[in-house]
Amino acid sequence: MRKIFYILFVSHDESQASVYADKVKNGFPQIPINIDFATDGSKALEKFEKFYHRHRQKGDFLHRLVISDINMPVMDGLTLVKEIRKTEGSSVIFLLGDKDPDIDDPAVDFIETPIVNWTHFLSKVESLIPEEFRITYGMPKADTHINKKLNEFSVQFLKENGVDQTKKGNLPASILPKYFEEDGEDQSPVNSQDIKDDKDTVIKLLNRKLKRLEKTQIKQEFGLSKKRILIQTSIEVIFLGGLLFYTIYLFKDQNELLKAPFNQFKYVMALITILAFFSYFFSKVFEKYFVKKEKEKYN
Amino acid sequence: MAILIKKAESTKEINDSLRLRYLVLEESKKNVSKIFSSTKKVSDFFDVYPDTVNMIAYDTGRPVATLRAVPYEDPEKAGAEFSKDEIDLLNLIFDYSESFNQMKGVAYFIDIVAISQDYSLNDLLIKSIFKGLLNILATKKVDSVFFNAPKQFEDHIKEIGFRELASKFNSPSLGRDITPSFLDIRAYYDNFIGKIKDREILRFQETFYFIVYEAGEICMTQGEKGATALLVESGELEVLIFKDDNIIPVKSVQEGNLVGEIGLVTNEQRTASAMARKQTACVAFDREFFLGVMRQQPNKMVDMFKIFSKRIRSTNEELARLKKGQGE
Repeated sequence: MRKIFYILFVSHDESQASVYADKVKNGFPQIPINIDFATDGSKALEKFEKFYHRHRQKGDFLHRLVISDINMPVMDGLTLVKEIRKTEGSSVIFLLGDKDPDIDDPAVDFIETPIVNWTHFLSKVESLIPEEFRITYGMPKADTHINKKLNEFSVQFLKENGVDQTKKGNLPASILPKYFEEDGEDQSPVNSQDIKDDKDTVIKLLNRKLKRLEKTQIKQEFGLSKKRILIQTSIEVIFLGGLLFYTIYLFKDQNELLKAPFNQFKYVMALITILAFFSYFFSKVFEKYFVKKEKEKYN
Repeated sequence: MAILIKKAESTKEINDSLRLRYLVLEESKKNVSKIFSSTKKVSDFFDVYPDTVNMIAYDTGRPVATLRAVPYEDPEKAGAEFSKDEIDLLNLIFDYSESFNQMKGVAYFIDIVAISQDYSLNDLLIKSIFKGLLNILATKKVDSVFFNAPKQFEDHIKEIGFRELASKFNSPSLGRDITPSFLDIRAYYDNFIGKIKDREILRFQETFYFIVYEAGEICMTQGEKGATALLVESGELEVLIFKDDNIIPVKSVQEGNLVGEIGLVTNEQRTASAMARKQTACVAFDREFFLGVMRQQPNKMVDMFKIFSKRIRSTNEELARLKKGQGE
């Protein structure tokens, strides 16, 4: 069960949407945010539902935010809100425009464009980031007036009530199986060369694994193994060699085989041999070319 | 800062918990075996089991505590799947002969606890990470948990409800004195629920995670769009209202009560702030997760209505008392 923070930017003006996305990304660099774009309401709805179903099937939980223009071709922002609310009621929607449409929905917010006060815009996005993300990824609290006042109150409260803060320990509290430790008296930290060796071994193993995988993939797709090629080529070479040898034999005069009926066809035999050699050569070239093309296609 | 305790599920969380084991071994000046560690992470074959539960605690982005529980089986019964060497290793790890007689139904064994040195005296964190694990195991319908407790953790687990199985002995697998301990999860969970007044919310327990706040820390801010409700598990919260540029303490929320539950259903701004009066552990519920569960199992909606009706009743009573006070 993963937890995902998803923002969908809907705007006919793609460059404008990417400006918003950059502002959000740079505003909260610690938080992993899934950012998506759509150019109009109907495309947005499609993407929104696709993303929702894909992750719901995996059992993931989503925090969704839609930042949409009100004026758009095909489907406008207000219809998009209605369509989204037909299927679910939890995602938050920011509508961007020049006039507040006054929608009676606590999860729909209006932001006047062009946005001048980016801090205000980012603080609105920030208030949607769940506590779990804030603590896991170490996001500091916003520097607002109320937060300052609350901090002052807290400092005074601690002073008045004399509350002790939890002490810091000098040693970790742990229970770990002994086999995680190295035997021996040597207490020096792990040698950097050893770590490098470890890394090299891991990379080597990984490369070997990748090569093996590649081979099995080729085998599955083309049925070409080293063994098969070796056997096939050797049979072909033996056959061609036999043909060549017999043709040369026919052209030698003094043999008793010359009286045989084959003698009359010795030029035909020579032609067949030459053709066989040519076709063998072309088939090899063709195979190489064909396999290369297919490989490119699959990759 | 607040410490978040949850089950390690994403790749980041699992990697963080493996890395923390390495850090803790380094902090205790131990040489880490190269067989079990790569790129500063420590893991063994139990981490590959699908049923292994890893807990992780974060303090503002920094992993500070981790805990692992593995399914506990009689290695000889499951003999077909283990080689003899593996059975010997399992016996060594679990100190198995001591506790097997007590095992009923599905059992888990806590075999790794690693708490970073800055947090090793944070008792509430240690207790909460154990409780977080136990709550998750309770939802998985596990019957009992075993833990070979070293002296450091004896007091913590006794408070949670673990009892001793045998007297202290020197464990060869850990290289120190341990007390084999045991907990009946059902009894623990009944006790846990018993303390909670708004216990209907626990029907949404799939979304469990713990947050430990230090004294004086702000848990909720007025005016923000809150999407998290907090159930005070131990400690105390103070509700504060910001009015005319002044902070006014309104009431304190004791153990077993819920704050910020309106935010679970609507998306309105918070009407008040909350501050921890002392070190406080809360069970947190997130709106998206909560609504997800509601959508899948709408019959749970009734439980939420019960909580709200309780709130309205108590607010009415308070209002009546105030009016009466004014009249006098």
